[in-house]
Amino acid sequence: MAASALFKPADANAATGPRAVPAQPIIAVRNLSKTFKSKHGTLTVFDKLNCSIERRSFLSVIGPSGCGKSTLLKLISGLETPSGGEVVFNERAVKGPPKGMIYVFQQYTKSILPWRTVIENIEFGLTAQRSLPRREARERCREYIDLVGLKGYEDYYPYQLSGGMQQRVCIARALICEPEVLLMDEPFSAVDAMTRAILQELVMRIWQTLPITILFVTHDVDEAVFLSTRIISLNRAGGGIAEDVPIALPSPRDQIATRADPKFTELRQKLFASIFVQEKSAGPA
Amino acid sequence: MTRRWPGFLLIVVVLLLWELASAQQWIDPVSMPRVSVIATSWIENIGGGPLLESLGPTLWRIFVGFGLATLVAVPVGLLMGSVPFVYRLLEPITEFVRPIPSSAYIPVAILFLGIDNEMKIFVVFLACIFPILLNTYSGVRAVDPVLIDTGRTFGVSWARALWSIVLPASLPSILTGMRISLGISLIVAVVAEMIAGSSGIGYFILDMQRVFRVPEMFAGIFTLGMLGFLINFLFLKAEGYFLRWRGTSVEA
Repeated sequence: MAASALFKPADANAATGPRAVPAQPIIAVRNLSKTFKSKHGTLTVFDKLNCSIERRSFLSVIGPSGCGKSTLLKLISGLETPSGGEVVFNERAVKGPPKGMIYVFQQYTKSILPWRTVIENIEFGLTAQRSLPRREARERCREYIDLVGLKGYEDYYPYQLSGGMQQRVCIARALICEPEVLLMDEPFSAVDAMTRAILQELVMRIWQTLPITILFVTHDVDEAVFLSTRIISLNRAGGGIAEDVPIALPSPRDQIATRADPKFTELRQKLFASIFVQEKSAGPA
Repeated sequence: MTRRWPGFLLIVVVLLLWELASAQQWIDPVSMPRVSVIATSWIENIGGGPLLESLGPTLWRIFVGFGLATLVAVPVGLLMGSVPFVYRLLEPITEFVRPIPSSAYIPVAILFLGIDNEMKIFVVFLACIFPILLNTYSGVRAVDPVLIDTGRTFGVSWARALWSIVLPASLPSILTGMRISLGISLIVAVVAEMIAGSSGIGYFILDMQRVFRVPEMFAGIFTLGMLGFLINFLFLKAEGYFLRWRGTSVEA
């Protein structure tokens, strides 16, 4: 992707539009199993889980707490090793974090490098995988700083920024690597409601602009429906996939209009009910 | 600085009381001369006198011993903190050697290295190693796993993660260890100078005591106090600079 492609509304409808050739899924999860052993016994989170993820889709994973949403994302990213089965990314089995996938952590305060300024943090992403002349590197960093709306904050240290701005830094740092897949683990769960709505729009816009696939874990059903082209709802640990729902809401989406769409409400109700029933049957929260 | 005036006032009060007690002979003015006498002697001795000459060797021993200890302890500590095998290999010997007071090595060091600079630098080095080593590897072990995973997802190499993630993340802890060591280095250097050799401020203090020039002896002791204060002050300034990203500047 050329740097200038950032600002072109490139194939925004590629995910929903007709395709000439049925594309290979970018990620395939095959018979994936994961068990955790502890003093209290073993916990099976996944038992032979299968699913495949379309290139350029925006897939959200939701489910009751403790169902293994984040574990699934960690397994796909190669940060965790499966107990059985495999994850295939671009037709190659994932063994350790592969190039082309970047994980954005829920705990942005712990993921940001506090001793680096905003621009230096973003430069970390850029220079992690290749080396560029300093001036060119700085220029590219500035492009991504603009993209996430942090112009003017280049030389601030993370402690001088709000939570939402810190997460923007982490997003820009991930995007500058030009990943094919962005894995986001409850990225907005620690910011206030308004910041969250703004960041949702930001991610939406990035997904429409850049040729990336986003996997998004959230406990917020509304957020998932608003953002996604497809939602996977997990059962409680070990229960596999409960629902796999395409979200055919019109694009571009809008915080006000989309959320007022009767189809939005219908999808949201259905998914919410499925999780709520499970959460409740698990006993007092 | 402005909020510390009560502390400085207390120092002035103590010195005035000392002056008064010595002048009125409430305490023995021979072994506790008046502060003004000590001050006069200090000015005479520091201005080109033997006190100034003894300062150089002591400072040299401290900085070389401390510097070498930092150069050894930080990399070893980083490895101990990040490679479990290195930790299991070195932790027992560290825990065994660490409790031995470093002044206990001086007789041994004299046997091998004589009574000159080599011996003193070696003893300072040995004393400085452990606080830095311990603080480095405990700092490394306290690095948040999310930060480590961040390095992994960006695909940085092990060596690069050590340099650009683990080292800066444990820097606050490393600097704390260095500050402790710097304080110890002054103690150990002075003790070593008192035991053997004929240079340095430790020797100066002991020598003045032997020839019964008590004001000069006290001048030496006061010099040590000021030196320690100055070194700590400068170190805190440096620490504040290196940790400016924490947002809380360390007030010196």
